[in-house]
Amino acid sequence: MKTLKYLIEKEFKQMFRNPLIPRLIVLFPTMVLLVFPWAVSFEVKNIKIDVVDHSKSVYSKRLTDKIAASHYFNLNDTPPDYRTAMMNMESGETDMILEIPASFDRDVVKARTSGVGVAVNAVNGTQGLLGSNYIMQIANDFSSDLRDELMHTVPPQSRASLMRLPKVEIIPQYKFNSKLDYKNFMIPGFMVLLLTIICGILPALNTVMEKENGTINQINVTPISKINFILAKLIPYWVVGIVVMIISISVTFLIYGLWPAGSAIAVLFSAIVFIISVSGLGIIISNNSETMQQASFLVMFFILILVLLGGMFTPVSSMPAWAQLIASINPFNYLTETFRMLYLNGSTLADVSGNLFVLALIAIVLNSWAILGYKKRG
Amino acid sequence: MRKGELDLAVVFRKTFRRVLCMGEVAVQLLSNSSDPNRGSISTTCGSYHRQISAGANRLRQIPFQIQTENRMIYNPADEIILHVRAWHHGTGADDYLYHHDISLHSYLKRRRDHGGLLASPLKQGTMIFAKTIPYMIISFVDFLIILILITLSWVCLSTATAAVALLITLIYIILTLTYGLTVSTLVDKQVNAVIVSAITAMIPVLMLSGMIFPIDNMPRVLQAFSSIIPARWFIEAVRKVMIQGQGFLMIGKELFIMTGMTLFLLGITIAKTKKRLD
Repeated sequence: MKTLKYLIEKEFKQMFRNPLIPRLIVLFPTMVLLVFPWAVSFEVKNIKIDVVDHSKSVYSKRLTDKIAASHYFNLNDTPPDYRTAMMNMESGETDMILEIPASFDRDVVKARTSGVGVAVNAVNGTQGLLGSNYIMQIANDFSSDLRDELMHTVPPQSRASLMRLPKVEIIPQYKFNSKLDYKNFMIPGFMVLLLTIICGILPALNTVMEKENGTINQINVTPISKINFILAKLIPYWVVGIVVMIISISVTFLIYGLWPAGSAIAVLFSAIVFIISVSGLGIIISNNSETMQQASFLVMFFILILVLLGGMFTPVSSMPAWAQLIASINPFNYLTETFRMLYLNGSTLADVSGNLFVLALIAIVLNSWAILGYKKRG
Repeated sequence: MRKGELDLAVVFRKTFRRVLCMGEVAVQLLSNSSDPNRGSISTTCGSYHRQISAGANRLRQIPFQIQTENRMIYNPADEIILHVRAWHHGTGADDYLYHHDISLHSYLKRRRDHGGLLASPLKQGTMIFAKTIPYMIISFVDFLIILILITLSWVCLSTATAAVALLITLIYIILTLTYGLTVSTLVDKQVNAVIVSAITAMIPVLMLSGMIFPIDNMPRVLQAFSSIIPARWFIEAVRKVMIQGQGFLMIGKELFIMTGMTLFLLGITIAKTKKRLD
């Protein structure tokens, strides 16, 4: 036990000898949480739209005005033909084109169904989908307005049956995130990202640095047991991880007013289990690398996979089958889900126990590998 | 829903059917909106509802209806692999170079300490340049692999498109390698170089470069910051060329900016290296 204590002391001393690391631990989470949540948004606002109006009638102008007035759209231009509008789209000046046919006003007056053409730049798939939905909404609104105004022009016999059109009104209630604020959804993800990076990279470079310095040989000739040695390497990073979590939770609360709707203790507890897994992974990488270059490549590779396939940016359910398979053994995935549930959904510890169980399993596997895989013979 | 098992609940009143025939009725939707895009289901449900009621009203002609015929331009599926490539080049090239140059500098320091001849700046420059060549080759091979993958899975590439993409990628590779050089002259320890590269290369590229989140949605300050990130221009140029099929002329601005950044970083590197030697 005493050996472990001294080893841990040594590790902490080595850690703080590098002036970058304490600054990293405190400043990096603060900066990330301050800056990046403002950048993340899949909302679709200010879509640039060109309206090609072949009809140039009162009704088509009203439709154009309605679109211009909507806060979803910025009316870019009203080019005379479709080709000019397409050139605008290619140069990036506009994202959508609405084409109103010449027969528009005649169709409206004669109470027929009229059609408009919508072309949308779907390079940003979400923008394309939501953009076309918004246009449909505006078109529908406009047509109900027209219906109210012009109903008196319809012959009386048909009018009676039309008046009794059943209408279903949908009342949405947005639970857990009533303001539909995307930041709230992403911030728990950022916390996991911070933990992954700090508690992944630092342990990974730890043993390799000793190998490159040559000081590892001195440890290897002592009778220190593998468990003591590896545990002493892991524990400082658990402490670092807890500090990062405390800073993250405080910054989130101070800046965004976001506090776990579930219990904060549960948040810390699940974080600790995750930290144990990730630092275990770091030590495994460190044990198996001879140079720092090797170690940093490996750790970057794993972090990339963990983050991209971890359900933070893209939902796991929209991934192809092979990606979902990887996601099912990805601790990042489980912690992001857990954090989101605890922060937004107000879930209790019992609700997230399933995820915690998997995280604990992963932690045990990785850390056993780290301890058993260390060879003193080098 | 709190347990994460349910995403959407639809509530019908008991008197739904009766009220429906008489006119207006309300249906309540409870959605798990922790993910706002999935949660704002009212749009999707709304269009489903319209389809259903349109079917129900088949026999009756609804006047004054405006129907939109939608066309999606540019296949969005091509996006994905370009993202991966941009990121990989960005972080990969930087990483490669940081480490190796740290060792270069410590090597030079050792030589100097041992009283060896101080190499002239020109030789120094040649040595550094020679260090970057293996990484250029690796990145180039990378690019070829990605090109093959793209051709196999998604897009039919014309030779012209591939050629322009090659040009853009070459410029970007040189840019990121220069960035790696610059960082390695500014940082003293190898550990720190890895950490700095992770922070300044990976995270901003991921968030701010327009790879995942659209730049238009960001606040002005962040949009300005995004224009400093090399990956942003790379991604814009590649998107224009590969997804929208545009030619060389349309990407002049992006190429110009990338070249400018390269020269700027090169200047810093040379200045710093000269200082180190003296």
